[in-house]
Amino acid sequence: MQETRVDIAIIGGGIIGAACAWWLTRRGLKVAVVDARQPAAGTSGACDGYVSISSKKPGVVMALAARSKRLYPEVVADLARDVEYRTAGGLLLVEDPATLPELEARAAGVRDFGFDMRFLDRAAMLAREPRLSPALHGAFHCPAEAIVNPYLMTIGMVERAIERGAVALWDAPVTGFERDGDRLRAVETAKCRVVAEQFVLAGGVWSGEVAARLGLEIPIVPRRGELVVTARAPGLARHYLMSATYIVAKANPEAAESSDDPLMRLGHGFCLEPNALGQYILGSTRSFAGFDRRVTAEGIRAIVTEAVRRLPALAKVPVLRTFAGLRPYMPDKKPVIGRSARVPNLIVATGHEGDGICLSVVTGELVADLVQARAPAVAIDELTPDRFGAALASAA
Amino acid sequence: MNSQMEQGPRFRHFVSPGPSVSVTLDGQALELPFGVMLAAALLDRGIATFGVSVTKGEPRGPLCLMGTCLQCNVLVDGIPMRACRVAVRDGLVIERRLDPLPPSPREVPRG
Amino acid sequence: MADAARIAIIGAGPAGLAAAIALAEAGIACTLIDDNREAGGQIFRAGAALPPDIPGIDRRGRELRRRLAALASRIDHRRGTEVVAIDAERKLWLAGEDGRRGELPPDVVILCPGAVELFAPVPGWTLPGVFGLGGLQVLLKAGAVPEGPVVLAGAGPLLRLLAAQLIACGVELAAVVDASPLPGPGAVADMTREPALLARGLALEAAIVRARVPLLRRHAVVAIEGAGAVECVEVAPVDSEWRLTGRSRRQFRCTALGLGYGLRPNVELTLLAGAEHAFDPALGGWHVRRSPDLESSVRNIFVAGDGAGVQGVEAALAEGAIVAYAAAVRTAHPNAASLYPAAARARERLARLARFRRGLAAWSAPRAGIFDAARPDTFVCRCEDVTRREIDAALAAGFGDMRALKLRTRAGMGLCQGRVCAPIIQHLAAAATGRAPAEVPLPTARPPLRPVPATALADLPMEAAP
Repeated sequence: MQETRVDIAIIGGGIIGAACAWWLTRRGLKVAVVDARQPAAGTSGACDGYVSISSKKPGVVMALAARSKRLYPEVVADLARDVEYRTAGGLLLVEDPATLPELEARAAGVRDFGFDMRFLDRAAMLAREPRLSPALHGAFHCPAEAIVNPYLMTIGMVERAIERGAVALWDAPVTGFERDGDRLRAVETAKCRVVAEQFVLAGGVWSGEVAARLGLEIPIVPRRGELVVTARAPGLARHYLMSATYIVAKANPEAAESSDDPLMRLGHGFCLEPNALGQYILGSTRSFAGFDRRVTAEGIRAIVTEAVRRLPALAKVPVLRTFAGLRPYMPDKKPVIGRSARVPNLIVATGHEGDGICLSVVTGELVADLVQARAPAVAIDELTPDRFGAALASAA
Repeated sequence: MNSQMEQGPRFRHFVSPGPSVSVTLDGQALELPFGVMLAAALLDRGIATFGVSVTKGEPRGPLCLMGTCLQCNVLVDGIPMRACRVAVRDGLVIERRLDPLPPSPREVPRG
Repeated sequence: MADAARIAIIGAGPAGLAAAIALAEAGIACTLIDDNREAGGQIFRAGAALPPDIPGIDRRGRELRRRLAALASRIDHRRGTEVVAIDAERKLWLAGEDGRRGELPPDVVILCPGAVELFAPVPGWTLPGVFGLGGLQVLLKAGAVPEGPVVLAGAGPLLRLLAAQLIACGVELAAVVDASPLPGPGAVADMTREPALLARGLALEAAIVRARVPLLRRHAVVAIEGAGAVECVEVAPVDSEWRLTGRSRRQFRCTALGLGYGLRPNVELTLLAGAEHAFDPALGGWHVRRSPDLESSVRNIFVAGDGAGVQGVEAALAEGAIVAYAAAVRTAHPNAASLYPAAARARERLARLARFRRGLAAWSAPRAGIFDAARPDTFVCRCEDVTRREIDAALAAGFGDMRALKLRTRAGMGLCQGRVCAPIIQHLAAAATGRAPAEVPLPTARPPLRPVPATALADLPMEAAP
């Protein structure tokens, strides 16, 4: 079998693996990316591209988002490719005034990271987005938020890494590992054996299975999210739109699951991305259905209904297609970024659920910091892959 | 109306069509035979351009007339519909998209 | 008609109509769903009352529609109803133009989705005035024909049929351009198994010759020119693989061009249902795999007619009889046995037709070279303005599968969702990567089957729509 020798072998060609490859090659390291299929063939090619801060869970995840947002323009500029990146701004739509105090606290948190986020009353909201339903109470506006095409961003980072000497092995599922005591020596794939100093596991929803082969427990679960794409109809909305009720509910997932509201039980949270071509990507639901990527009639109906309710002008716009992606869900709702004590030359970077596009850039930077034993830009001790096992099992 | 948009094959009806009804096309009044497939009725009037392509703005007209190709899509009473699937009736408001839909301006961030 | 919901037939073309009528006449209720307002599909299309001297107008449609109307108590005919989706559990998601929406969970589904025209892009094929051969025939059946001169180009039986029909309507044809050579002896031997069909085909060709219309065999369109609409078509000879040779080009002035390289099965429904598919150029390319009872790999989903493999109207009618019996047996209806004799006769007819179709395909099924006629700046995806150059660049960069090509170039992501360009891209990808077309799987199908306004999918009262 052929053999490739590199400094770092990255398992996974989704947006996280791509960002790791971009950062590591930028720091002059020799990298190989291996994937069972093609770049962005999984979750990163089946999602929208909201680079958000306001929707993130306060705490470490919001801190990561803030850092990622600051880094994004620099990475995009380096790609020298059109990845449809636009600082469109985000609007969190307030459906229920009861959520205002909690949202105000969240906005204060976002401002603490140095990003503007303030409430627009109904008139000010309609001045920004005139086609929104006047039944809404207003919106929180976060002007720094951006939209990117996740597929093109993934491909762009991979191609840039290849230009800097990275090796890409597609259609090369991992078939085994070669150990050297605790450490890894090589990853074996269907195409080639890759010998490396250090390894990065960025396998998204497929990470748990790969980790298990290394004796690590990463309790990652695929969580299906359905999306709807419309035909081009430019100008109906310019900002990324998201339901504030949903943001609040997401922070209390147990309450949502026992809700009387069928939308809550579907895990529905309204969001709308105006893409660079004038189409709208409407979302989304969240459900546990294993690796089933089919869409459901009830999920699609909920998504379209709630989108038309908030943006009535969508009613006449044709729906072109629907699809579902598998979000890498972690039971404690925090990604896994860190080195495992059990396999000292392995760094795990996965479990971003719906935040992967936004957090990819900072994740790549953190992985590069870990590889080079630099102090990380954001404190990520709580994201360690070693946080699972007996302790978590009893908590779950 | 842009005269270039009205170039195209002339069609004729060899079966006498029904009585005419009034519709509007891009804001202008037009008489079309009742009950006839809208695409055929417009072609009869020498209208072969049903819209322009999304990015380049090139003229496009009906291709398959079986509902598959979507090239005959026009706005009928504000809703995008395939002209091969619509029968002419009185008062139809038909609009063609005669301008391309240019994509949003991209930002090229400076690193 | 509670029983009608047990068997649902999708598509009211020849196969679907034949199945619905056979079931209903045997006393078995069913639901017949079609997106047109009149049953008949493309072949039995209801339309203008055409003069009797136009050849090849199949007048059996009127009789079938009359029987359908007489059976209204047993056939729940849902007109103007789009199937948004079907899943492997046979659950149908419907959106009617009358606002009737909802789900139907039949025990047995018979899919009769018919065929769509196969195109091969050439420079200028996006100009207004370029129609599918089938498209021109639809217009003819609606009573409208182009003022000449007209050029018809492509391959397959429709080319000659449409030519003879237009001639009978007094339309001036500048040329009929056929990529096929004269049929070889094997093909002729197969086609003689259906002497009546063969005679009909020869009569059509005779009509072209009689009208002194140039019939160019082994030729194809090189380019279509015109300012804003078709004005001129340039043709050139092709080799045995239908690749343009570039020698001895000829130009024909015309106001309209009919173009088409035969039909391919409309596989969207069977793909959505998760059924297994196979590739066979003689059946029009990708088609659903079926058991002898015409059942797909998904239990209780049957497929009949051209939508399962292009074999023509006679085969579709025969399959309608076969599938009616199979569905009646599967639902254990007490009248099932009464459908057996017709189904047995239909099987014998199908066997003869299969030989005929084999000969027809050997003669006229498109060869790979025709898909190479696109130049670098020719649009491959008409909806999103994606050129051959962009497709080739993505292929050269290693994006060889259909999903990656779509996401990379946006080809097939516009309004028609790849219904026109997917087979073309499949051939370009196969040629560029040294694979057979069968080794380039189709992209995954997702609902909705056709673009539908958002309101049609929303749980909102229609009046809530602005």
